[in-house]
Amino acid sequence: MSTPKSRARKQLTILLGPVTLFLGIFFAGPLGIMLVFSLLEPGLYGGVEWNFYHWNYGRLLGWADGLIEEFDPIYLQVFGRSFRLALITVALSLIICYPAAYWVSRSPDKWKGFCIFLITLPFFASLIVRLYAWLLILRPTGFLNHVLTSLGLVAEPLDLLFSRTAVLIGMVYIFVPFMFLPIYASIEKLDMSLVEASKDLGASTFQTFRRIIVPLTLPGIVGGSIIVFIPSLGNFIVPDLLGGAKVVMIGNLIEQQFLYARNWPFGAALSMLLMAAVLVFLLVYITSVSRQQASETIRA
Amino acid sequence: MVARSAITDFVEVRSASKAFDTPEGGTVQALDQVSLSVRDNEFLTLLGPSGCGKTTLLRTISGFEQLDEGEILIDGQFVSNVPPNHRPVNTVFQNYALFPHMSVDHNVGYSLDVAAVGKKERDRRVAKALEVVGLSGLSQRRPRQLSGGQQQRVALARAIINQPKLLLLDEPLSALDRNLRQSMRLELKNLQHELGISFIFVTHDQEEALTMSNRIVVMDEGRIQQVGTPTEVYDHPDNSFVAHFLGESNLLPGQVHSQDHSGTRIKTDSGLIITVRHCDARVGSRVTVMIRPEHLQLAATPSSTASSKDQPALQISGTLQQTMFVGSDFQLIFELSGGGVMRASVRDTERASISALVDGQDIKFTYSPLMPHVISEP
Repeated sequence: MSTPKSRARKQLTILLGPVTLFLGIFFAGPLGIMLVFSLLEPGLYGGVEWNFYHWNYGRLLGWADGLIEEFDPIYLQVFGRSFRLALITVALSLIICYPAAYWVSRSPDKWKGFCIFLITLPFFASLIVRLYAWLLILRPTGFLNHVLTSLGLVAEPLDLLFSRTAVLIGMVYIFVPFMFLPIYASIEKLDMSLVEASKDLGASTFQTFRRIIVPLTLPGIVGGSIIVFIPSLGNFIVPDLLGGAKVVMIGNLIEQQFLYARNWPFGAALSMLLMAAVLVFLLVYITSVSRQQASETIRA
Repeated sequence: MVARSAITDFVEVRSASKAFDTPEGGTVQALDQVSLSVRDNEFLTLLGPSGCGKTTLLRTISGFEQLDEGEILIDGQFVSNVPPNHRPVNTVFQNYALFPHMSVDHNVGYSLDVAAVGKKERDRRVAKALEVVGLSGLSQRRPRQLSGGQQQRVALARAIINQPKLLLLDEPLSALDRNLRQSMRLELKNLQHELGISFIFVTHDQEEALTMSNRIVVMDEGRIQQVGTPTEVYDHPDNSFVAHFLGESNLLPGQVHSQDHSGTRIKTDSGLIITVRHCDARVGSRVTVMIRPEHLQLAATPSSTASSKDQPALQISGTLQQTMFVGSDFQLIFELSGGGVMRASVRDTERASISALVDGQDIKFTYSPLMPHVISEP
């Protein structure tokens, strides 16, 4: 009775149905609401008025009526600051993770499992608890300053907490495992005989790294960078806890608009702009990486 | 500054030893006091079962493994502190190890690119190398778009483009199917001849070793068992391992019984008397007699036994157990009356006399006293 075609369709429904339903309700739905809200007038006491209102974007990008809504470049500056922080976070975690992942993937099997366990160990404790631990480490009377002063490396305790440095440390700390795992997976797959072949053909260690190892582990580098970049761009917990009120990132701005300023449409517009920026950025990043990979093989 | 050896062989390995830790916590001796020299323009094969140390020996020459003891000289220079990228040898890897993200052109030209050779010169040499291996026209393909045999040729072209004096080949034919393997044997041999360089070829396939080599180095358990030309190691193996590993053989342990002008008689443990023309062992010493299956002739018809009346002793008889057709010949397995089983190989041309045989019947073979080889036991 059931033709192969209808059976295949049924199979597809069973396999993809749940995820489609879930994402449809909990992802596409809220996204649509946000998009609509970002184009509505904010209500006087929160909520929205159902009038078309483009000033939310005008406030951010430079066309404002100058009466009720004012253009303020500070928002774009927050965007820029957040992008910079996210990029530095990506760069630092890449520099930290790549050599470590290389070393782990080349160590004996029994060590590998243990090292992966160590890398995932932070996930066993709550993020908030771990960030409070950093609070204790970084504060003027905290562990780090205690060590530095007792070793005589600094005369006065460093004022690390509630600074951009503290935020950066916290960011790198929480995103290192996310960078490590994709890189590890791609180095693990790397055929070591290719590295040997490169050396056999006269290439130095650096040439081998640049011409063979990096291009062949590029998927892991790209994957890890994206996985770290996107959440670190929107992260508001780390700036909140380790940056105090001094360091405002785009995530904090959105959080404030929704929870404290109760200007939902403006928060929604900020979110939409952030998403658009991320999409454009990733598009540029991925195309430039793949173009570079292609030219690498042509030029070699 | 660099110490030079007086010996002119291109590669010299002196008392090389190397041990590896096993995952179980023990150690395995991959190389045990191995000494070897490779002559100019020679096709040298390292032959042995897996784990015999042949690949380790190759990798110590290419520089990917360090010796625990001993030393290696390449072109008269000690190379223990020379990294692989500075050694004047190139390798064809077992699974070719072609760079998957590069075209054939860039794979072959890799060593020139890292050495920053000028574009004109580079392109000329890449084209030449591809021509030598017969791959002109495929230079823009990626390795995964090539067949196994073509990939093999790319690996060869890549390894010879720098005109090394020595090429190391680690089981390069093992991934190819049977027909391709056979034609590649001939091509490799021709290539070695044309280039006028030495090849060290690692294999576990005795047929490959016999057909291609100038000399064969038979290895087992980290030691060299015998070095010699293919006919030397095949006809006159130094020990039972070599006899067993190369070709089919009947190995009969026994004792030298008597010696006179006609030859030496050896009494095997199964009670046979085997007469051989050449034997250096003294009377009473323990030996192993090797008789190749193809050296036994079927003596089925009464007339042929009558005609060889002058040498009645050169016969082996037994009970036929099994007859197997293996294409070019028949394998006859027969049981000796004193215990033990032997194998004889009979040409397909004698099919008529073989078809008359039934399992379980008595059967006789003759042999020439020139053929059996006596291995002295240590």
